[in-house]
Parts: sequence; structure tokens; C-alpha cells
Amino acid sequence: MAIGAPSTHFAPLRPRGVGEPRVPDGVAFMLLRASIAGMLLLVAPGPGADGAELVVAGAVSLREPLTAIVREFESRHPQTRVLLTFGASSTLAAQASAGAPLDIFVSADPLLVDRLESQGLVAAGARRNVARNRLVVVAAPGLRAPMQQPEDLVAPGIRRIAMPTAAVPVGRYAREWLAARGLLAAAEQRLVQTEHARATLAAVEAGHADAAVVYATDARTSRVARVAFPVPRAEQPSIVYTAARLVRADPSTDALLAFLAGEEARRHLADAGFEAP
Amino acid sequence: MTAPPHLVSVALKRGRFELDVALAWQERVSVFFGPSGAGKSTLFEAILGLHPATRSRVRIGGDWLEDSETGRRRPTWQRGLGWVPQEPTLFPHLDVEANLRFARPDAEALERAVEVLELRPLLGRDVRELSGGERQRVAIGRALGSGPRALLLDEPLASLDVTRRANVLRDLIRVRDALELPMLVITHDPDEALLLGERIAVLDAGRVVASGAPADVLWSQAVLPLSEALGLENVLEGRVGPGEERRLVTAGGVRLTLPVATAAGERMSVGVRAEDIVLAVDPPGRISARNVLPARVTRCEPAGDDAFVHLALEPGGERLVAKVTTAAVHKLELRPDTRVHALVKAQAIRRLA
Amino acid sequence: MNGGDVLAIAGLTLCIGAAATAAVVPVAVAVAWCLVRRDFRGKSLVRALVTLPMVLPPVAVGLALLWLLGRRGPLAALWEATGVDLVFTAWAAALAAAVVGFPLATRACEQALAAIDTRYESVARSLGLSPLASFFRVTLPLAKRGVLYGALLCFTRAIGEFGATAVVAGIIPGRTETLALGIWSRVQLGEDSAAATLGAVSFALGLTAMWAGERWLRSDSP
Repeated sequence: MAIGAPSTHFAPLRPRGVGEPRVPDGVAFMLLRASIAGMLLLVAPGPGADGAELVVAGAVSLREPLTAIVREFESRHPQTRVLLTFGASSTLAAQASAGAPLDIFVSADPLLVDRLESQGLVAAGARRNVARNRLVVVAAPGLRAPMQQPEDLVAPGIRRIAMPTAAVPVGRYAREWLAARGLLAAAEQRLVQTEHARATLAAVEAGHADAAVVYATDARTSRVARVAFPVPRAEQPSIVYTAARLVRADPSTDALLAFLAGEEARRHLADAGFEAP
Repeated sequence: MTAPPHLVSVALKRGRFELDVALAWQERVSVFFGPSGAGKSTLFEAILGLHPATRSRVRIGGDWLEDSETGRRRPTWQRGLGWVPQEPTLFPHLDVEANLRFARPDAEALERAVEVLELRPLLGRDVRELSGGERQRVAIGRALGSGPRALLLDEPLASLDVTRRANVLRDLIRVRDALELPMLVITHDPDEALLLGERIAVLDAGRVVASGAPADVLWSQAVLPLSEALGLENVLEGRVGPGEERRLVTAGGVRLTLPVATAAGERMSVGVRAEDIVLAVDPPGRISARNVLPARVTRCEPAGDDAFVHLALEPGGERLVAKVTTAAVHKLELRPDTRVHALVKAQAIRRLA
Repeated sequence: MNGGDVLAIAGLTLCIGAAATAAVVPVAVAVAWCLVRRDFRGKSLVRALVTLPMVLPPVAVGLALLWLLGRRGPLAALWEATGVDLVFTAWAAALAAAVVGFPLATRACEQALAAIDTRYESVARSLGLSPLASFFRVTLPLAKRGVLYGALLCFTRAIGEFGATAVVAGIIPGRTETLALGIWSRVQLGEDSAAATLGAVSFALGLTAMWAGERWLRSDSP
């Protein structure tokens, strides 16, 4: 490489900015934009401009009728949008206790509403009984062992009975009945724990359990499991569905609460097999 | 009006290594010389403010950068020192031009750096494609782009192979002459020290062993064992004679015959090892050596069985050192002012830059 | 399941994942930097705390979050005073996802930062950049791949998060029903085909995210 005299004529360097560090760029920038978009979407309001958005938490056994009732309410009140969430009433009550932003809670067990009331979470006087239910015993499709009477549940041929914990309403009601018949201890040795009433039914439908004590209304929805026998009327526990407005809800929720206790609602519930409260 | 001298007084401890250095100098280009592990890079890092030190007083280019006596301390990014560390440290995520612009230089300073270092053909290239020498030049350009008050070069030629060293050394000499910045250069190569430096400080095991004019210090008896071990040789600079392609005319007017033809008018630095020089008291008759240089002995220094005979070449008095046996010194009765001829084979002359 | 519902659930999951990742990455980078470049007392404790969400069962993480965010925990007075209530909202879901994704992102960032020669930062400093500027112009760009990989790990973990989210955010369709929670509730209800549909969407999302991430990270220059 020769030593030359410094060049006297040269083109200027490319303008500043070219070749500067390319941060952010490519992937980094894309992810950054996506994250910001994600955060904005989370913040974005749900309902229309002046409309209200209500959250209704209902016992899972009310799924179909409650959905129909709410849709009818929405069609009557176009400004209002209702979000529905279903689950075991005990789980929903626990979430309400922990501060979940629920507006209306429809429980399969009035004791759960009592407890929320004692915690000061239920608006004064804002509770209604909306329906009653009964228990039946269902058997898995293709079950060979006989299932015609309560004692058959604890027969040697029955290996698994599906049931939620005692906190879940249907779990409490089933245990109440089995205890009254003196079958609880034997049944508990065969228990397969499920999440809630519908999960219990699903377990029997799938054959994971041989039999279960479920709501009559749930058994109606099943195309696969058969009702082995109903629990005798005299032995039925008192199963009352209670709807309550939570204290943090907007007072306009009262309209929905009233609707839930009203005529149209009762019709939907009757269609699903529920009894009047 | 002279600028205040540069001052570096540092004491620090790093693991088991202790550095204790106190130097002051006036010259613009200073060389820090010593074997590896002597603490030269550590000294630079202390000057840059990258290491805490027990004692640290640094004044470069007339400005105090740190003074442990008064407690003043400028953080590294405010010291304005252009640092070119030993390993190439060009930012790999930026191309050459982005590296040069990294310190947001003003257009003029950048143009000057590009010009002096001949970086134009490299702009826009990926730094990973560059050769060692090219990287070195870009690193120097980047340091210059920050508009520093001084340039700190750490072993600028160490990572290069022999063929490239000559080129880069030439570039460094050119940079040195083109700029007016103070330069601090670390090297363990005596050739670089002699060609680049106006002042030298020799470090060994964290201490300053000697300091002064480069040739004087490196050929001195105290430093000679060290510098000879590191490859000390005679260094001469000059220009290839007009019309005489194989003749180098040094600054002192000495005419040397070179082993290879070179373009006339070209500047050149060459090296001759002390042991390759033969001394003759009587003018030699017909001999094969192409260079017969009249000179005068200035001193003889014994070194075991050998002796270093320091000569002043005629006409200009340039220094040349020959290594002969002590017996030869006695036999030829060499003493100060003795006139001799120094015989150098053209093949023994090596181009340095 | 109708397509609209599937899209809504998938969309919410992605949003929560993106928000969680956006929140985690800067914190992970900062924490990783402290762990790699600084020595301080209690460093091993900090490291252990950072790794904790990875070691705990996610439901335990959710429980801890519920306690912190709810009205019976140590910060109840704060939430009361500011009127902020995060439990059972999409924010809580994002927070749960962020907490479980944080250790993954931090580890990846640590590795990325540790691999960078400190010499680059020193040189940037000598060129006149303050420590903060040299971090953004030198360290971060050089660590970019590792940081992005950490973000990818956090994102994929976030979109799959279940345990903590179930506890602290519940399953509210439209607000906190993510793919994982959606699958779970449909399995409980015996809606196997719907569950399978959501499962397939989860699988596709996870696979796409990892595949796309690998491709970009490979083609992006180091």
C-alpha cells in the first residue's frame, strides 16, 4: 500500500443517519408494537358508548336457561350487555369474596349467599329465590351392574362414584341424602372428585365414573347417561336457587335481578326442568 | 508559550499486581515500553478512569482529569481521551461508517480522519470482513471522531502479521505527523518505540525503570538487556534517493544500499541488527558488503563476552550500534573517537515502514 | 364452538401475552444487568427470588398474587384508597402471566448480557457516552438476540399460563377467559369437541410463535 499525498478532491460522506444503530428494528420493533397494541386492547372499553356491561355469575346447572333469560333481557335493554360466567357456586362465591367484579350471583345454595351477606357483599334486601331442583342418580352408559335403588350405589360392582367436594352445592346435597340413607361412608370410599355439577355428569358420560348423584335438570341435558332412578321425594334435600345483587354493582342491575325473578325467567327455567321457587 | 507538561501519577492494586508510576513529560508523542505483564495496559485503563486507584493524578493536554489529592475526578466519558485498545473493539452491530460516527463527530473532524487514515473505501462495509490492519485504522478513526484531547494506542501493531505491520506502521507515522494531538503509545516492539516516540518510559513489573529520549534509553546499559530481548535494532529513516532506486539517503546524509529496488522519493524506515554490523579500522579493500559507512566511535559498553560499540555515522552523526566481541574491541583498540568503517550487507537491511 | 368465540378467546390470550411480555422485558433486562454487572450483598437471594415463580406451582403464584391484589392482603388499604381493583380482570391475568414468565426472560437476558465483553462498554465510555447511553447504544443492541429470545420464552409461557390465572383472574368470558382457561372449563363441562378446538388453536399458536421466533432470531444478525 503506497503512501500517497492526501486526496484533494473527495465526495462528502453519506448524510448522518445512514448506518446509525438500527435499534429498534425488525423483530424488536414488531414485538414492541404488538405489546403496546396488546396493552391498549386490554384497556379498551368493552361496551358501547353509554351502555352498561354487567357480569352475571351463575351456578353451572343453570347454564342453558340462564343464558336464554339473559339474552331475552338484553333484547329488551339494547344498551346493556351481560357477560355470563358459570362454575361451581362455591367457586364463584369465593371469587366474589376475593373481590371479583360480579354484579349478580345466582347460587345453587342459599347458604353461600348468606355467607356473602354476612361479609357485607350483598346489597340490602337484594336477593330473590328463583328456582328449585331435585336429585337423581345417573349411571354410565353400558354399566352392567344393577342400579335401581340407593343401595346399589355402594354395591361391590360399583367402583367409582363422581362427586364434587362438599363445598360445591350438589356435593353438599348429595352427601346430605346419602348420609340420611346411611350410605355416605361406603360411598366416600368410591368417590372420584369433580369440579362441579356438569363435570360430574361429564365424568359419568365419559365412563370415568360408574354413577353419580346429579340434578334432575342436568340429567335431562345428557344424551348419553341414563337416569337410573330418581331420589324419592320424601328424601329430597331442599335445593333452592338464589339470585343476589352484589353491593358493588350498579343500582341499574336491579332491573336484571327483578327480571330473573319474573315471569319470563320462570318460563325458561320450567322449560329446562326446574321447579318454581 | 509552552503547554504544561503531561502528568501521570498512578498507584493501584489489582489482585496481586501492583502498579506505581509517576511520570511527567513535555513531548507530544510518548511511548510506554516494556514486556507483557508490565502493567502498561493497566496504566492506560487508569488514565482513562476505568479502574479505581489508591493514588491517581492525571493531567493530559493541559487539563486535569483526575487528582486524588484534591478529590477531583472526571468520569471516563468526560475525559475526552481517544482510546484504541489492544484487541480490535469495533462494534460488531454497526458497519464501518456507523462506528466512525459513533461519537457523533462533527463533519470536519470526521472528514479529516477518513482522509488521513484512507478509510473511504471501507465505508459501508461490515466490520467482520475487515483485516486486522483495516480494523485498526477504523478504530483509530473512531477514536479521532470523538474529538479527543489525546490519542491512546495500546499495542497498535501487536495483532498484525509481519507483512501488514510495515503498512500499518507507515500509517501510524503518517497519522502522527498529520495530527497535532498528544499521543500515548504502548508497545513492546523497540522498532515502533524508536519510530513513533519522542519520549519513552520503560515499565517493568508495575514500575518505571527508565525514561527519556527513546534511542538513548533503549540503548542504555540499564535497559539494554530488556530491549535486546525484545528485539532492539538500529533504526534509520530517510528517503529513497532520486534516480537511485536502491539507495536510501538518511536524515543524517548517510547513503545506504538497499537489498531491493524501491520507488524513488519514497520515505522509508529500515532496521539493522547490531550483530549484523562488522567493524573495520582500516578501510576495507574489495569486499562483498555493499555498505561501507565511515563513522566515529562514541563509546564502548561491555556486556559479558560481547560489547556494544556506539558509533556516530558521518556526515550527520547519526547513531549506529554494533555488537562485537570484547576481544575484538581490545584487538582493534576501539575507544572513543577512533575512526572506523561500519560494514553492512545490503541483505541485512530490513524495511520497517 | 363458533368461529367468533374462538377468535375472541385466542385474541384475548394473545393480548394478555403481549401485555405481560411488554411489562416483563424491561424489568428483566434491568434485573439481569444488575445480576451480571454488579456485585452486592444479597445477590444470591435476589437470584433465588427471581427464579422462584419457576419453581413454585403456578396456583401458588396465583394465590400469592390474589393475596397481594385483593382486599384482604397487606395492600388492601392502598387498593381501597385508590379505588384500584385488579382481581378478576384482564390486568390480573396479564400480571399472573408476567410473573410466571419473568424468570424465563431474566435468565435469557442474563446469558445475553454475560456474553458481551465489557470492553465494548469501556470503549463506548471512552468515546464520551455516559453509562446509560452506552447501555442503550452498545450493550442492548449486542444483547438484542438474547433479550428477544427471553421475550419469546416469556410470551409463549404467558399465552399458556393457567394455574395462576385461574386463581387470580377467574374465568370470565370476554375478560379473562384465555385459551388455557377455556379448554379447562369446557373439559369440565364435557364439551370435548370445543375443548379440542381450543386445544388445537393453542397448539398452533405456540408452534407458530416458536417457529417464527427461531426464524427471525436466526436471520437477524448477531
